Amino acid sequence: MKELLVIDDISVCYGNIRALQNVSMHVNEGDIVCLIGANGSGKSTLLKAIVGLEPLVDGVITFDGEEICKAKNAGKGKDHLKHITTDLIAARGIALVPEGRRVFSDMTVEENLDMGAFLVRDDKLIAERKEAMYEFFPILGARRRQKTRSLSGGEQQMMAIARALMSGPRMILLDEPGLGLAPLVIADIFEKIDLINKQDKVTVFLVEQNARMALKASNEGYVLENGRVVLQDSSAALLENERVKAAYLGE
Amino acid sequence: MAIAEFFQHLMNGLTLGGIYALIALGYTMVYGILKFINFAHGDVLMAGAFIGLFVFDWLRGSAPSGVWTIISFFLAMIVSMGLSALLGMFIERVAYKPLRNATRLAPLLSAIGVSFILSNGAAWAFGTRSRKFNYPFDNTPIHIGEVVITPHQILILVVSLIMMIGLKLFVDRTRMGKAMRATSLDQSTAMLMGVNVNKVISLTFAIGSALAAVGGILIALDFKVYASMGTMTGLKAFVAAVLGGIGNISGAMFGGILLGILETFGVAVFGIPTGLKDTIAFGVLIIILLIRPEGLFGKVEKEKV
Repeated sequence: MKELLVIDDISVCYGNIRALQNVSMHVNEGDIVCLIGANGSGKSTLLKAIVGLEPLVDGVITFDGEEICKAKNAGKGKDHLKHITTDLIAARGIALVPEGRRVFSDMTVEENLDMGAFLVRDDKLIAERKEAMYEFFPILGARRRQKTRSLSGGEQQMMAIARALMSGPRMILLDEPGLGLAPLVIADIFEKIDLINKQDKVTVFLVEQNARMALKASNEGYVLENGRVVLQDSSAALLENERVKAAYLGE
Repeated sequence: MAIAEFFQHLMNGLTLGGIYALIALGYTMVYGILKFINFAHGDVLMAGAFIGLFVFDWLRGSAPSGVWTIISFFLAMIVSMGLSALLGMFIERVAYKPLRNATRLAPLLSAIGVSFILSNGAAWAFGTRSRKFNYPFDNTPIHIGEVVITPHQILILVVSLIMMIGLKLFVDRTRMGKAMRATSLDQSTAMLMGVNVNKVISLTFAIGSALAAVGGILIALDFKVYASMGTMTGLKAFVAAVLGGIGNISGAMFGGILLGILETFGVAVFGIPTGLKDTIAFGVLIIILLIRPEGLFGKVEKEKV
């Protein structure tokens, strides 16, 4: 299967602290890949690095065979990659659903979806996608004219996912979609993520603290500890792994 | 107070307030996105007034009045809006953009520097004397009952209303307008949507400066054009923006109009001496900062987890 996202030996620093150390991963087209790890292990930093919100001090990230992020000192002279900004990475077909949802709270649901389709210049296509989203998440259709701040946490999470899908991405990155939500709502959201992957053929990269949910929902898994990848296997195998069981599944 | 007198003051307050509102919009839009007060905004207003004055005089030539004079006035306004927009974008590019990751104080100081450069530059280039802005049409007051309204007042009200409605439609309905609002709400998430934040910032300065140019021309009709004309008007418009809730577009419109009315009624009704008229705005600023620092329309954001 084709490798869509390749993270090659990247490091990210906050001052003197290495948040990510020589991390390598790959995500195949059409897969659901999950990354599990404790609080502060560097999961969100990794997602931010992929979309260009955190600079790399080392390594390269390629998407669909093209470099999207590269450490500043890598390469020389004219070969030096021009810094690709987050908006241009989004234009390549990567959509991030950020941690804490980050909805535009003062805008209506419909306006948020319009923002998700900012790069789509075809009004007819935007209207079609909005209708599709209202069908996929009926609660959003019912609330389309409401300010997003009046939505519940679960509704906001669904809206953040719908907003990311509005651009018609090839790959969607989800940062802790279940955080702070009731178990039933989380189950609903994971069901939707599966449908997005199976029906719309969108590649999914899922970051979760809830290891059991994430491993059950995915094909491949990575475990991040203190900024390093310590385990990598099929999700089914990780669910049976003694170390994972002890540290993340509470068994 | 007689009804007629009330309406007279209201009319005077609305026209003054309309101008404040136009200028306050530039402060509030820039603050909304960059969280910084562009203290050079008042001097862009001055530049806009000078450009308007020169272009108007050049276009109308020696023709004393008539339809062409009115057309040239509006043409001059459009040219001034365009050139002031370029000036605003240029200032942002050279004086603020390089400081975007510096401490918050740095762009503020840079803005004060730009303000001095513009006003002193204008004094050097055009002299310190005040110039009269020629009337685009006959300004003989019209009597409606006991209320006296000048054609200039009608012009100011109509133009500022059109500008405000236009701006509101732009930010609510258009793709770039929504991108502007999204950027002011959450810059990095707007980038995730594919918004080029640099473009949005340039556009914000362009629109704010164009509106300031209109404000400068409208205020110059009844007052004069001079190098330091932007200082006091700019500061008052800033107060209006804070009054409405800085960062909030509707708030700036409302704050501007309210400040205009407060100033007019303060002098006419509450007997504040004309010489102390300018203190009203700053008194309002102090009160609002003490009682409701987020402004009338400002919101204290609470995040839902």
